[in-house]
Amino acid sequence: MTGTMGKNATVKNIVFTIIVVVLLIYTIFPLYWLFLASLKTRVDLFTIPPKFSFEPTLEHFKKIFIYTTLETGEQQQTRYLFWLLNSVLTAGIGTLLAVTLGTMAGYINSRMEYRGKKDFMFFVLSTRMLPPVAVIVPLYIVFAKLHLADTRLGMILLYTMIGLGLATWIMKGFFDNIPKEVEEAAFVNGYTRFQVFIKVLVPMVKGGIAATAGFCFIFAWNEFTFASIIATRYAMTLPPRIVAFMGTSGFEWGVVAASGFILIIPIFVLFIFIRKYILMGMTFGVLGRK
Amino acid sequence: MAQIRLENLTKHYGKVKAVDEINLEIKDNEFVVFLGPSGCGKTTTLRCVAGLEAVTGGNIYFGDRRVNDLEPADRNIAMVFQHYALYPHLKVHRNISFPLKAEKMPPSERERKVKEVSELLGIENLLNRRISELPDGDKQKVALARAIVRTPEVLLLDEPLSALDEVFREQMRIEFLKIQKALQVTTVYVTHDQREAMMLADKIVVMNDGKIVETGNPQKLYEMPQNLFTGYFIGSPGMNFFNCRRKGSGALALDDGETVSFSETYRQKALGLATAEFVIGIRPEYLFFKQKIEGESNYFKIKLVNVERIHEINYGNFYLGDRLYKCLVSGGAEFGGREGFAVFNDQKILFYDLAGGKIL
Amino acid sequence: MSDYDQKKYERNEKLIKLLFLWPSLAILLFLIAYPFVMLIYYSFFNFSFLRQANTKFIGLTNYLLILTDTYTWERFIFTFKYVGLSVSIQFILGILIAWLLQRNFRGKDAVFTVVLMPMMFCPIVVGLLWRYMFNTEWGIINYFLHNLLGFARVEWLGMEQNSLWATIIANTWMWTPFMVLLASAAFSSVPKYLYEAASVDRASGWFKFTNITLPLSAPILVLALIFRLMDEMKQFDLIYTLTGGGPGDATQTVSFTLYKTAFQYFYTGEGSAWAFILLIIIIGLSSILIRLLNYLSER
Repeated sequence: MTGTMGKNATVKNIVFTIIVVVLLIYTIFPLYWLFLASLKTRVDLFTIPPKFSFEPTLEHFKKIFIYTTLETGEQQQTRYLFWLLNSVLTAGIGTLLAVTLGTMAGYINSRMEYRGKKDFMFFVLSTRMLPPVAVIVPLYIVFAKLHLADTRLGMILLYTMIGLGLATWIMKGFFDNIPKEVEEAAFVNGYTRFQVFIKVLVPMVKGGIAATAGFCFIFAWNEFTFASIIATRYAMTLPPRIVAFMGTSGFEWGVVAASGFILIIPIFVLFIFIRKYILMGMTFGVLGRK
Repeated sequence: MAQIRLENLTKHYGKVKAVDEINLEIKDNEFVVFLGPSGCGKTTTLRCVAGLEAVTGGNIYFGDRRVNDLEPADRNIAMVFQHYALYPHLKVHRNISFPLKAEKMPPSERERKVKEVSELLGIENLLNRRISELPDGDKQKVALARAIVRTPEVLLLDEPLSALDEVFREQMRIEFLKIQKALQVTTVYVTHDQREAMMLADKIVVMNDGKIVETGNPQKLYEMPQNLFTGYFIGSPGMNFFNCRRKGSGALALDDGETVSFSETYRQKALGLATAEFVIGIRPEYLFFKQKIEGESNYFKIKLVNVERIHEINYGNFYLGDRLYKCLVSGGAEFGGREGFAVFNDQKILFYDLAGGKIL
Repeated sequence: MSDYDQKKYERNEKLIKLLFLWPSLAILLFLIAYPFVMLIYYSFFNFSFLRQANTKFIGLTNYLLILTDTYTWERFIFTFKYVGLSVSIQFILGILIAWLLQRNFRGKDAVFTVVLMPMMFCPIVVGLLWRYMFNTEWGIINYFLHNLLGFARVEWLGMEQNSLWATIIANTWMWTPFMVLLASAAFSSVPKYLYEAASVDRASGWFKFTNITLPLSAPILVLALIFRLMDEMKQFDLIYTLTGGGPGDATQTVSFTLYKTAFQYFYTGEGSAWAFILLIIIIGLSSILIRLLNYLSER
């Protein structure tokens, strides 16, 4: 490889390593700090200078799950698991629907023509241009009228809608990359279009589906604005809960750190699995578009 | 302007030996072609000479200089790649003049050289066009122009014609020859197309499996290959090779037991060989099909399967044992199915041992 | 194909089109287009979500109120400053990091995974985290600056100028990985032999970057820019937790102002007008950039 033979190769390597290390520190440090904060006592959180070694405590994590009433000192379980379930269901099913519908729509837009196709694609893209804060009020009113407000079904539909735009565009890109001959060969063998779609094409775009699912899920899981206003009780998800610890009399930093950290873990795990596909997802969505 | 010497050149990729102890000397101004099938190590060798790959073992010398540790930029070489490798958004003119800029040549000099080179290749009217607008053949001409504009010591070409269609290939081969004669530059050219090699090379280096099989000028390799591999690879169609066995009775039998008749000199030679089993090689062009023997002394019986036309010449296919061979026929498809004899000339047959090396 | 088969084929095609397109279209129309129309409708009224009884049609009054208020223009200028700086820094930094990480080295996969992580996290959490780190007295950032490097303590979130930069820093930390991801994808699709030819021609690293890497990556880079711009203009979560729009209203982007108007003051009608204006701007910007993208893709 060029650049590895000259006299300056070693110097270049050292500089490179230093820069990479700095980059890693810059990226990881805040997360490390968050992790530490979730384990520090109320006092340790705010010491000057900040502590790197200390006696860890699990009190913040406990507070997430157990709630102590101030007057009686009674302990009862918080509804954390319930909210967690809501998050999983709404984000999960919403992603599932978004990816399914998006794949189907992406396929049609890749292979077939119809009146208003350009407009449809632009409309789909424009759904990503809307600020959530903008549409929230009318959306809430619509939901209220349909008795969807504060329901899991409503949130699922919401997350489906949000993910659809991205899913359609990315999957279209993937389908564009598959030569028409693949389908034509199957047609000649007597498959209907639907069968070709299910049996031939979908397996070929597995990567794109994984990438899209990854993106949609991450977005829905972390979604705050809509959730905090529309899902206030029965459908409440995790992100608004974190904000709930931003009380008026000062923040519960420790609990915030702990719940923030827990929120990150599933995404981190998911990310490790679909890492490969994310790179594919972004490139095909663009490179394949002509 | 340079002599290239490869001394025990070795390149490993992990456990794979892509180039295995190659020793070669290339003379000044020689047009050398590395020829071989895919994966034989020819491109890797070229890239080592260019400096695009680091050498695992051995040395590369340009004249007296050992260049192993030099970057490509410092070796005074020029290279033409299979996929042109032109700068996509620059105009043709800029693409060609770019190497000169790096040498800090004054603009008037640069202009002159670019003009000279583009006239030599017939692309002077393309100078203001964008690369993306050109057809493939012209792109390769531009790539060549860029390579020679600097008058390098060594010109390297990595399968430059593989991506072009036949029409352009013919044209470009002639261009290459012209250029090389005009510039007097040491050239190393890699290809898997033996016709190209035959047409362009002063010296062909046949490679297989990371090693050099044989080197020699095209004529020699065609007429008298020292190795089965060379004989098979060069020439279109390739050489016929028959397994031959000396029977106790003193007769000589081919593959399926067909007795072959030799003229006296060769009979003695064949009988005098140390081994009882050997291989006979003869080119299809020197093996003639005749329906009746009329006094020839070298022949054996065959039955033609069909007639095939290769490069404007009719060849007959026949089986001996379960292998297919070719010979020359003096007619067309009507010869298919006929029985007769394959007749050959003494001087044109070669003897090889079973390991592939030539013995007589 | 016989006539009968032809008809059957066409019907089949039509059926598939309907089946595959309509569910998506229905959801989008329903959950976006319809509320959007309602939004525009509300913007012409002095509608307040809490006090619905007094709703009156006031035509363009909301819009006039907004557009003639100097406060509005201050918000817009701030938003453009913020978005402009944020996206530019992310763009340049992202490209540099992607360029750096191009070569193969041991542990490249692991490094990449780590570098891409920040954008996976909840913006709410990220905002709170940086708020914790930026605290003037006990925040770790001031600790490094003041105690270890000797600079004066910076009031990150308490002073106007600084809060802009605090927000940009937090934002950059979170979203630069997105740029790195796309730039890496673009860079890795450039054929290696182009670089090799340039090496043989004694090209400098800078030349290779500007004449090979950038031209061939331009379409994807512009697309990434479009995505980032759209997202930054919409952004709310991060600012909400990091600064709450403060100090005062120093870090209030247009998006945040919208939130305040609609959810703190409950001037829903006026909020709707804000929303519409913001949307027009976003669509306008995106259209221009999409056109640029198409132009680049053709060259």
